[in-house]
Amino acid sequence: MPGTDSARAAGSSRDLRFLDPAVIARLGSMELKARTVVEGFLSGLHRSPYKGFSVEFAEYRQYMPGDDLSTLDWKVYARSDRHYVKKFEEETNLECHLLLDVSASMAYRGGAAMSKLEYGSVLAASLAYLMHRQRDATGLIEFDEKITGRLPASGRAGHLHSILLALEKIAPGARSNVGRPLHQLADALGKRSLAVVISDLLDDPDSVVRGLKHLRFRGTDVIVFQLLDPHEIQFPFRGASRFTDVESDDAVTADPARVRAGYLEQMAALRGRYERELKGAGIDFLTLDTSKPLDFALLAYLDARSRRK
Amino acid sequence: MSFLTPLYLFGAALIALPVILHLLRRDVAPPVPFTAVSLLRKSPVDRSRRHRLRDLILLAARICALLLLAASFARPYHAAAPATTRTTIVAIDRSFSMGAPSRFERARILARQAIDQAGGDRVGVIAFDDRADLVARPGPAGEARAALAGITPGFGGTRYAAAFDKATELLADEDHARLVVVTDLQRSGFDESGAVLPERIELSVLDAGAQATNLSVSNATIDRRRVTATVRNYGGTPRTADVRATIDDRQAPARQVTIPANDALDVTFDAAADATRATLSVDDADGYAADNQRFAITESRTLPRVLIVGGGPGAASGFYLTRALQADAEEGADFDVRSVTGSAFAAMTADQLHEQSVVALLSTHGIDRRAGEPLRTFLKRGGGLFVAVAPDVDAAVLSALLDWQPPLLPRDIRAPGMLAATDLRHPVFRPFDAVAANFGQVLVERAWHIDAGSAWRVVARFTDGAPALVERIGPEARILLFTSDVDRRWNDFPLHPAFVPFAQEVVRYLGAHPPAVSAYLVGDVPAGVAPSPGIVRAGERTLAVNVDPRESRVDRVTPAEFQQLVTRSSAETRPRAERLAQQVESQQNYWRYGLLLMLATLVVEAFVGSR
Repeated sequence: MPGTDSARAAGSSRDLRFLDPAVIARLGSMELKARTVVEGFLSGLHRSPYKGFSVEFAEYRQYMPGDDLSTLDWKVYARSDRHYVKKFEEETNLECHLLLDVSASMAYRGGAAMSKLEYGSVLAASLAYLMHRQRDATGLIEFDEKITGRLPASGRAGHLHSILLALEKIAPGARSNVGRPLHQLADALGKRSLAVVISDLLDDPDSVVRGLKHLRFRGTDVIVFQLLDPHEIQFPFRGASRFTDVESDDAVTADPARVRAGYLEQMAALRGRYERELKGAGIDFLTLDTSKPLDFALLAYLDARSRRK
Repeated sequence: MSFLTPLYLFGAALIALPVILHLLRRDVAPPVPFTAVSLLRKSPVDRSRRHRLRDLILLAARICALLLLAASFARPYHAAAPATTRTTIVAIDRSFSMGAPSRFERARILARQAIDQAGGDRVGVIAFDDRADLVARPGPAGEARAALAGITPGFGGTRYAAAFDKATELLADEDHARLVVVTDLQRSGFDESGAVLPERIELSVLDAGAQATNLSVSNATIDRRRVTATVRNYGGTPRTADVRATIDDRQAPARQVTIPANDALDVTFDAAADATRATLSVDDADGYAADNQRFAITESRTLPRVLIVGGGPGAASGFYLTRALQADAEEGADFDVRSVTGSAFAAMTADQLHEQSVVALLSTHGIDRRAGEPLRTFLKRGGGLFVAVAPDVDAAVLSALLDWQPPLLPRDIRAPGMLAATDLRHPVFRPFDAVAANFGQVLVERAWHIDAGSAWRVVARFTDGAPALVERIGPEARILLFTSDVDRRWNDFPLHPAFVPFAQEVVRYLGAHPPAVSAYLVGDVPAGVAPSPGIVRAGERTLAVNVDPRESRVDRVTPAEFQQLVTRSSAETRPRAERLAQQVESQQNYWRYGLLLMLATLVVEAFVGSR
């Protein structure tokens, strides 16, 4: 993802502090969370190569103390000997759908400050907030083994509030079946739309890949955020334990020290397969550690958004 | 399978430990909610079933190891089937009373019959008198029968306890056994206690015959130019017999005497004053031959050796003491006196000092620290030390030599008065009795005044109360200290008649040793001396060895009385069973295999546990 590293480097520790899930988790409403994430993220971008990205020139206005000097139009100044700053305006012709997995496995919280569902909700809210700032029409779809909730995409003022309210009230659902709702949505979403899938994808990979490819095949741009808890990534357990599946009665008694290597191998294989097959289908895929800041996700979105221009 | 120490089997209760741990281990696998359980299934995990199997194998291995450990400590053994054949021991009396005419032949016949009647039993033979010897180990009857031919009557006395002890030892492993005693049933064989036989051993007694009469020389002495034989008649009628004496290889004329029934008579022969040995005999063809002769010697007289330690060469110290000790008694001097200088004494070793009975220390001149260790060793070995204070006796040297703590700190006193025996019961003064007052004639001009304290016991004092003769208190040392001198420099004691007996009594007391024994019975002879009567040399000593006079008696017990006089023991059964079990277990050594197996189990456990 171009510019990711430099963008990360550009974000000061002060700014990233507001992207830390542990800080976000302590904030009150979803709107506040989303605004904190996005504003923090964007303030980090001020010195990044993404400056002015995806926005259009709107007008000039007289410079006022406090304005960013980088927005000063030196050509106008040269011609008129007066200080004017450029005013930008985002495009508004994109339809974005946030597909949030609310299955029971998303409620898992191991070593992070937020559960995957909470993290996914904040991510969805942040994306919605960011999309709203860019005047994109934004919609929200919740699903587990089926679609459990849907807010159609809209760019109206006040629609963001509805999305944030829905995200705030979200509750874990039943067991996962990511492929099935994706197939349902493939025909329903517009051709020039963008689908952001937020899920742990701990499901049958064949079914998941088929569903996502179906979506992509119908002309929808797809970004997939696979959310994983640190415990799912590192498997740091100690002592013999009986691991019970949160979505079923399945259980395995094992000594973590003995099975860790095998598990990590399986997990890496799963992620590798998603990455390989989804990228091959033109789908952006990114695994997010729920203990890490959200800037990765936002950058990934902006990157995908820029490619659509 | 039996166990030698079954209490250790309680240790098997330790198997509860791994069982509990196993159960606890199950409890310590708590449920952990997780999302990617399907990935755990796909990875090469320890499936719970496999895990359970491994745990069960580990549990079984640990239980096995503990069980094997407990069983090994319990010393398992496989009890052998009891023997089907019985053992018979034939004990034949070989005391000198069995030497009566035709007595032993009859005993052999009876023993042979006993062997024949033993049937299929294994048969062993022992011969006994004061002690019992195994003649034929329990085995085929033929060997036992052949062994009988080699037994002859000896010179010992009868002691049935010796036969019973030997038979018990031989039959220790037998549940049922038989002891046949072939004897002349002398009552004297029960004189000493200890005739005990386990109940499991069947006892039979075969009478080899009775003796109606017997003459014996029951005692022989050499004393005051006379040799005396005590001749005893054990018969019910008076007997007339010739008594003979051979004194120092010279045959004395025989004397015919008549001894009353069941009585004794002293028969005396004249002898030279220096007679040292005599053989006395009585003619008795009907009685026991071994007791017809008795041997006597004069007790060897070893003079106590006294070492007088004087001053330097040419010093006159010790003159009076030497003369006093060498004063002639009726049979010559009572002491072997030798004088040495202080430096010569310092050069003597502990072994050289050990040859002395008493050391009389009259001067410390020329004595250095070297003498300390040998002198202390000499005292520990029972030697005596007499110290007479003189101008050349240094208290500091004396204290250092004898390691006295606190050291002796005397002060000179002048004219302490006359000598007075304080403790007339002391062995030194006891012989003086009423004449002890003669010490009051001794005028003492100078002496040491020592503080007796708790280290010394005052035996005599001067008339001013100062201690004159003190004895060191202690378990090891026999030390007398005379606080004035014995060389007429500080007093006139050597000129008084009491000096000689005083000196001799002091040395006799300090050098007292038990008298040497020179007369032995056949059954008690010291090692290296043949158990047969006679006058024999044992190293530098001459010994008279005689038969036990108790064996000369002819009074008997009946076979029924014999049985009653034997104490039958049943308490021996259990230790015997344990002993048997111990023997079997020590032969089988199953515990070693148990421990090896346990180690193998632990290796398996470690192998399974590491997987």
